[in-house]
Amino acid sequence: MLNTKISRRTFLKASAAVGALATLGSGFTTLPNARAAEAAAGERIVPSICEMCGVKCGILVRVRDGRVVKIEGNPKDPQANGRLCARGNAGMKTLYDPDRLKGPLKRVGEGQFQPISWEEAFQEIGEKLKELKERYGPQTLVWLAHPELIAPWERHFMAAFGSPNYTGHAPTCYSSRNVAFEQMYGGVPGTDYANVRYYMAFGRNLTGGIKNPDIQKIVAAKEKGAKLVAVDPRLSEFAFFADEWIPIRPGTDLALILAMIHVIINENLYDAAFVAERTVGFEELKAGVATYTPEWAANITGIEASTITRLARELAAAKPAAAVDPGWHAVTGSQYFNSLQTARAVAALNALLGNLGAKGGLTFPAKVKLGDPSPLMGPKPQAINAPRWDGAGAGKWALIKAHGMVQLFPQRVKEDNPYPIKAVIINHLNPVRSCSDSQAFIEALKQLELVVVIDIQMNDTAYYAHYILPESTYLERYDPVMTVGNKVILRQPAVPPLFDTKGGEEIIAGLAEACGLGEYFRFTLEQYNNALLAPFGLTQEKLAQEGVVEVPAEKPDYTKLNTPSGKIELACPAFVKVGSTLTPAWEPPKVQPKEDNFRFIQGHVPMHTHTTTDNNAYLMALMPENELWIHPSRAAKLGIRSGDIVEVASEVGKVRVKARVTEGIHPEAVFLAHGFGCLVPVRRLAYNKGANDSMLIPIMAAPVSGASAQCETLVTVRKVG
Amino acid sequence: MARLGMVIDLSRCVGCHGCSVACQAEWELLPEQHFTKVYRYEVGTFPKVHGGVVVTQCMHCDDPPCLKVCPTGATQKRPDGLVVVEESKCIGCRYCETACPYGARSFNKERGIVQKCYFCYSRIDKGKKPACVETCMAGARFFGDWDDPGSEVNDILKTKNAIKIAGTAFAYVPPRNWLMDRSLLPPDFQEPGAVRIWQDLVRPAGKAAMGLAAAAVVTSLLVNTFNKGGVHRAGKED
Ligand code: SF4
Ligand code: SF4
Ligand code: SF4
Repeated sequence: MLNTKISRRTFLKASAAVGALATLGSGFTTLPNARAAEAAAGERIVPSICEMCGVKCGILVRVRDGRVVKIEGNPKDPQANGRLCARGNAGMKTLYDPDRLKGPLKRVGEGQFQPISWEEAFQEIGEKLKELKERYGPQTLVWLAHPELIAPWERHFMAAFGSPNYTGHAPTCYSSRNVAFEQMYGGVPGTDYANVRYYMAFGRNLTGGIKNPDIQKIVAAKEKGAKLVAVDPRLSEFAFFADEWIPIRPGTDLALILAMIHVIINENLYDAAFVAERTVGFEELKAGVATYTPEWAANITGIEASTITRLARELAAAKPAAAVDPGWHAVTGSQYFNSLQTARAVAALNALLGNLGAKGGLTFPAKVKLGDPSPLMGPKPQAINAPRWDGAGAGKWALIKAHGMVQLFPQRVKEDNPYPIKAVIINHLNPVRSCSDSQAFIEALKQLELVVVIDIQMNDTAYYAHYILPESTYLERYDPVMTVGNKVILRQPAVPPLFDTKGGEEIIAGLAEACGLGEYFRFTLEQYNNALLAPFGLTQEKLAQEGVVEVPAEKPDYTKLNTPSGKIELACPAFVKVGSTLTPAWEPPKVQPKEDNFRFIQGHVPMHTHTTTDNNAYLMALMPENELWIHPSRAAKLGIRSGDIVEVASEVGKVRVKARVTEGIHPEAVFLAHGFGCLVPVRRLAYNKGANDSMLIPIMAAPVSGASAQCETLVTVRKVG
Repeated sequence: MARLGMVIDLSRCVGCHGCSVACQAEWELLPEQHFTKVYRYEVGTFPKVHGGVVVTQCMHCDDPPCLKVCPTGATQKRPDGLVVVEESKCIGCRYCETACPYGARSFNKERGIVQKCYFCYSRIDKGKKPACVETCMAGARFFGDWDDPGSEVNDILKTKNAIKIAGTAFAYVPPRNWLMDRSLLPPDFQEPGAVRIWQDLVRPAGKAAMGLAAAAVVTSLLVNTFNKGGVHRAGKED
């Protein structure tokens, strides 16, 4: 069990001290009849950007009497098109969450915090950072983040500080997909969902892990008659939405894809002209897949050979408007040891369909050339020579410099090698629940001399921080401008901050000033945005009026890819250099469940985002807890019925959760939705609801990609109530 | 005279609950109040399992029993077919909740009144679409006038073989990926009693509370239904 000493009183005291606004979120009382009459009068509409997930749809925020009353999709926004998902619609419940962070806090004991002023917090953190830098060198500081619009500021801070250790969340999400496509395609393409005629998703739960624009497009394609195929060990949201569900044995997607490549090459179903002009290494690929017959794959995947052959033929018949989704988190992204090989196979299969740049195929986005803000940003930071804390970018990890291995943090903190890590700043990330082995992460945080967390809520990581710096929510702050296709879009406050919080940029600049790096941050966010917008004759102020403005964008050139050959590298020597194969090849998953245990699989649900929405009253009312999906045949042997409480145990941890006995899951696996099991008492809606999947996942790094391989976890399940 | 109603295309609906929350925000509902509900079902035995979602709300019945039992006249039917509640007249007696065959009414415990989907009259009177229709990422919801032969709802009814729920303002386009059984949709309107059982057929997606009881009913009902057809078999859940 995590230590959850009651801290509510201390926390409440902290809240009371910084302002009496805490009750704002409760008790809507406006009568519907009255509202209709009022609606026209005195309502302000602020165009901005949603942050209920990372997609950043354009929103129109309706504000009445200084209060956000509703959030709607911005019809001018290319992603939202006037529509929003459940989470986007629920945004005001995050803004008015009574359990939000309301001012800076300093840790005074286990689970105990007291208010501190921003000035004092900055000063104390700055002193400590200077001291640690002096003692251990600048590389002793690691910055962990879910990189968002403010990421360039975070990187600038780390560069100024002199540490190479800015680290994102890639290995828990997408690093194997990125590594595969970066090496083979020179970048990660998207899918032209709107025009696809045949679409296959390997584990990509398009309608479960929701991206609003992708949903709008895939539904349009379905309407126009596209066939949608979901390959997944579980009847996911996309599996029931698709035309066909292929209930594959978990961890074996790679075999199915290799066999499809085999069929398409053997039966000459590939786009020969495209392969000749735009790829290299076809002969090597052909030789590589020679033994991967559908019969071979049938044995491994549990999917009939005839089905595999049929899928390959159907897919090829629809080319080039046929696409296999590069994916995100899941099979190609991070979940298995063979995820990188799987992503490479997906990349090769798409190339055989000749779909890169074709209508309904894979696409690179148009690029907007923003202005250069660097003249504002102080002296040029000195080059950094220290190796990264996680070894990314060197030796066998040569291909993952941009992705890192955040999940290794707990081990690395213990090792002190090649240099000690003593301080961490964590922004917009909750690694205690989003990385592997929660307990290990907590132990690591306890060992550090300085832990600073920047967030809008007291998440499970903040709970172990020395200082918590509360960021204003997306409805209360500006951010650096973003681009989507040929549009520039602005996040701007709909209401002033309700509490004693600051925008990310102010927090970062404040930290910099306090550790003697003020000269790097003598500019405002508005000046920064104006510099980005300068080439279009725009300013932040002008952009604020509409929220979205169209600007010139450069179309991608598919004939000159950013690879050594300029073409798609079906045979890719870069992988050989790091100890892998030249062409995609079969690798079994790392673990194999037996009669008495299960493969643990996890994923997302449509009504929640990671661990960030579990205290949102509207979203928690929709889904207050997760359940362990288990197949009836396995459940019966264990005496488990739907609704029973079960204990799920792995080599690193145990959780208790309700069982959901369902035919919609492969008997070898149990499934738990990610994002539950918060153990911070002050988050009253989230506290102790459902189970935290990260408690169960051992710390691992998949070969080459460094992915965290969440689904290479074996668990036992027993009934306890 | 207009007869306003809705078609929900279950071939498009992804079950995201966007409609539920847009509605809550529009009407400033309590978190536990859902005018618009999303139910998820699963039918069959691994590996041959089908599933999907059914979304429901007040059916704006032709002859609403909720109205008949209301002692104060708070529940009213507008000439355009909308069944609305004049909230200031509601005394919270909750008779209508029992009378409604579709379980569509929702008690607001803070205000002591019963509410329900109003088809967003305050929006449509201004020429806007209901909040659920406007926000739906999948474009699965269509709102219009059944009395207008050229309306979008009539068009979809014809071209997409939608199933009209008799006695109500609703029709559903069934999902295209399997021959969904009619019993998974709200039944045709009948006086209270007979149709009640439908509420137990499908369970709210993501909600644990309904799990056991509802699942048992699904199993028994679907076994019956599908055995007749001889095509699918319901999964056993014990
Ligand atoms: S997908 Fe939903 S939560 Fe994410 S940005 Fe768009 S509306 Fe917001
Ligand atoms: S918003 Fe649309 S897609 Fe989402 S559940 Fe409602 S009807 Fe279905
Ligand atoms: S569905 Fe229920 S609340 Fe709606 S009109 Fe019919 S009886 Fe009344």
